[in-house]
Amino acid sequence: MINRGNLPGGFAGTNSGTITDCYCIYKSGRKNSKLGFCGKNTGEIRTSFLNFRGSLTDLYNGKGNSSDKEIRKEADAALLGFDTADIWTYSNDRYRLRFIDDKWSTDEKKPRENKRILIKNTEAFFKFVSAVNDLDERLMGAYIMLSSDIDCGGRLLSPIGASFQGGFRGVFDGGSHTIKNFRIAGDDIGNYGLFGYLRGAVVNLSIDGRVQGDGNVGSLCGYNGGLISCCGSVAEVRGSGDKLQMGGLVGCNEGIIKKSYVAVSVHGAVVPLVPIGVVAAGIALMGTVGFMVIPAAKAVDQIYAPVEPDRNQIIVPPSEEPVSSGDDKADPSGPMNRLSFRFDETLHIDPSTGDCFINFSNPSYSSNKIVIRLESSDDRTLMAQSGAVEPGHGLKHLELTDAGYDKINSGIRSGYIVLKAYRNEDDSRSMLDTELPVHIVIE
Amino acid sequence: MSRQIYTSPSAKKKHILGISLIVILLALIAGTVIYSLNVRYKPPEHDVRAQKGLPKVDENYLFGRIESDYGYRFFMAGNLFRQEDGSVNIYFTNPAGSEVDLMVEIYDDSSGELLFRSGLLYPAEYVDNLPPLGKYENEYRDILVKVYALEKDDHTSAGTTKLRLALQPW
Repeated sequence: MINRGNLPGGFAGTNSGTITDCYCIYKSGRKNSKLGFCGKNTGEIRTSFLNFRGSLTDLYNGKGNSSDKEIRKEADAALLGFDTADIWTYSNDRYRLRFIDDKWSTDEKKPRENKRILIKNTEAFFKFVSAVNDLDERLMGAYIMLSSDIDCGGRLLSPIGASFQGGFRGVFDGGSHTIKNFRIAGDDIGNYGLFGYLRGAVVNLSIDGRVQGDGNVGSLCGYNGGLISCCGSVAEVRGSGDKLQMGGLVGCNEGIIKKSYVAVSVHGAVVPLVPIGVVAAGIALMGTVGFMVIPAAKAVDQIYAPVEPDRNQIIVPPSEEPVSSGDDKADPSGPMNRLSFRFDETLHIDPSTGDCFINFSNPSYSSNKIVIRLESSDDRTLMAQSGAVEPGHGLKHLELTDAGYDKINSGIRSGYIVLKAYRNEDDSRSMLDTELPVHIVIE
Repeated sequence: MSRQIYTSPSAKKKHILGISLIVILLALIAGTVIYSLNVRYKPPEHDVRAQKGLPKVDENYLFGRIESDYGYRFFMAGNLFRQEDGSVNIYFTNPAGSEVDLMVEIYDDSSGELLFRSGLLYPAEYVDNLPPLGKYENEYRDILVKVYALEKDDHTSAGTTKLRLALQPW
């Protein structure tokens, strides 16, 4: 149940009438929910309770007092005034108090046979709703009886008799049937429930629906000024607004409610949000993975390991590229066995950062990517190595390896720059290594 | 059956739908991740037929050393003959002292079809012959032999050598 107003009640938002022999099962994901049987009670509540996540957290005994007694056996229930002969049944192994199912119906308000109007199917029910909301006097005060379950198919309905003037004042006998899959929703302050403003009676009816509104909001009835008896509801109820009085079964009760229950679940309120969040996260993740996969996909049939680009390579403006002699430009008609590059012949090394400044450029017209190695002049120990510097890119510095640090510290001041050239299209070597001697200066 | 039910069937359907959606989504994500892992580079596998040392070459074959342009060398037969079972005798050898791993592929030079392929050979290993990758007509073919050299530590390229030869029929 989502409420953005006054404190809701699991069974009724506010009560100034009489509630007897009723219960509410409230399942909430929030551990510290302060939900009570009734949000605000100035009337009478007897032999009723709120079952929150398996525990009785709000219990009223037969005298109408709030009780902190536990019911762990049938005798406890009887002691507290619960009628275990005709109304309640107790399950010892689960500490559960429920209505005796085959006694859970009422003949209260039953008229003569020929005074009943039967609703046999969904279409007839919709017509009834429309007729009452069109202020059809004949139906507004009639004895209506369901002869079958009604499946509204998710249809958005208007509350039956939403206002005092239009409130249903007859008897709606569900005949122990169920009205399910209905939706009631509205933004204006009003009376929201299957019945908006009830002046008559609703008996022997089970409902399964979703109600959302502002004002008096309850699954069965927004405002009850009449009688509700032997009714049950599996509700998803939402409300908002400063004037909100929201309860699982009834928003505001000034009438009589007997032998009825409501099972309020927040699952229906949460599930639409979770998949949306998960879907959004999943799409983002799949997009990221897909972005990673697509470049890698071409490597499936590759014999050679790909030569990864150096993460420090920078784009070299054409004006700063090595000048081509014309011979070394890529010739698509044949193999490329020339290499163009530029770098400093004296390498400056900053031992504090391990940066080995080289200022290397690979021209954009090259068909090779180049890996740069710095090897010591004595035993060709690898002192530093780059990733691939792609055509049109350059590299300011290499990073010394641990062995490179050792060589520097041992006094080595000369080495070889070894250039390994790989074809752009398949990472195969395009030529023998190119080696050039360099001087090393420590800054 | 009791009239008192405590779970909304419609909400339960939505719940099941929501859970199903999450499960499907997680399966898709897992599949994408697994696929992405599988499409990453995998080095060629070692040839299970590889033998140590030098091959005993039939006297009818011209077995010799080939120096690549990349500093490595290998040995193989210069005249290739198909065998009755469709395989080809090649005596492809990665000599001892080599600093690279080698593998060889043989393509039909006209159609570009891959006919034979070895696994990876470590230094001082050889394969006598290669089985066919499919069913081919027993006929003369111009072939392109590609020898791939891979650096031992990271399987990057150490150079590809290409030879144009002939495949004689059985």
